[in-house]
Amino acid sequence: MSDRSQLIKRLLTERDFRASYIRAKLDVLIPSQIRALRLRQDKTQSGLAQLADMKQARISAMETGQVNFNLETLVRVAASLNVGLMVKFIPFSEMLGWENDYSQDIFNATQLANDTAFLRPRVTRRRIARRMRNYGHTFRIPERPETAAAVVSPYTNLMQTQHPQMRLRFGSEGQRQQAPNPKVVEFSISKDSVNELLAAAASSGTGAATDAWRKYGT
Amino acid sequence: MTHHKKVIVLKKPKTELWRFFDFTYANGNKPIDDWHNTLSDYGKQFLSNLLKNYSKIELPIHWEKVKFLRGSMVGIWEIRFDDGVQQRLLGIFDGAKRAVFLIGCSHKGGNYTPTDALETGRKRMGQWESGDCIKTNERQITTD
Repeated sequence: MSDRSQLIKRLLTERDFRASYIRAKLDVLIPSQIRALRLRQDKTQSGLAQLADMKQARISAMETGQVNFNLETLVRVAASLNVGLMVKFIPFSEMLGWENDYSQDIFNATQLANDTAFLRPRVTRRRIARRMRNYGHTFRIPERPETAAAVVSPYTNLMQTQHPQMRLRFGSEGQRQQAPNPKVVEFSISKDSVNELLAAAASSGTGAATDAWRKYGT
Repeated sequence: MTHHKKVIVLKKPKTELWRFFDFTYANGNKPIDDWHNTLSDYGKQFLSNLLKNYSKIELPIHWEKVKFLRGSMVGIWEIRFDDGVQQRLLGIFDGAKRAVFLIGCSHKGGNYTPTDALETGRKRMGQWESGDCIKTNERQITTD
């Protein structure tokens, strides 16, 4: 049996082994991230310690993994480094993928003062929308209110739930008269969303609308 | 007048990763594996993750758990990590982005186990440099 098969077998069957696996990753990656961010921000251990209201020795111990981190310590360090902190339960595959992609030499997190996505979200959303228009599909729907609403509502509901950051160009702003007849409503979606859209429209029982969609989708 | 410009596309250089080798006696004995087998599950996973992280860090001064030894042991460094008792893995650099592990041991109350770990490490460094050992036993960095 290969090493990987053995590893997987034990991960599947032994809770303590899973705990060791997770702990071993965190014990390497948390100190490494703290050190990487401190160096990116040109801070000394003493400087960071002062900001975090800790002793320099404690920062040193954290960077060398000689302490057991608790959430409060991590929050204080994150706040002192002016970055956020996310604790998230994820699949093992995602954890491993993140570890594989991680490099202490290039790891960085934008500090709050430069975080335009947080400070100026509207501008960022417009940028995302512009990108969507450039790379997404444009669909045209006949501007019969009942048809358009039947197609768009399930889709917008779905997208609002799954992608709350996304704004569809639909409504008075999105409408424009392209030709005398028929009038069309135009909005953009990403390519991956087409199937979701069709599925949503079909499941809501709007057969006619779905047909219209297929007919006019370009 | 026409100017002909030759465009040379420079490939983005790939960052070479660090590679780690285990000291192996000429008769095939693998002392690093023997030590590695004494570690707990956590210790083995931790070391594996640590080396994966180190392999991507250009400068070893940023290998945060490494202590460079001085005095008669100059040239040798040790990775220190806790696995119930403190474990130490002594190593040396061998050319560009190659590190060699010489001996693994535990450390408690100022004493190494085995007690002659430092001396053995220095002896193996000499054997590595003179070629009196197997130099191809590379420690694999697992990514899956």
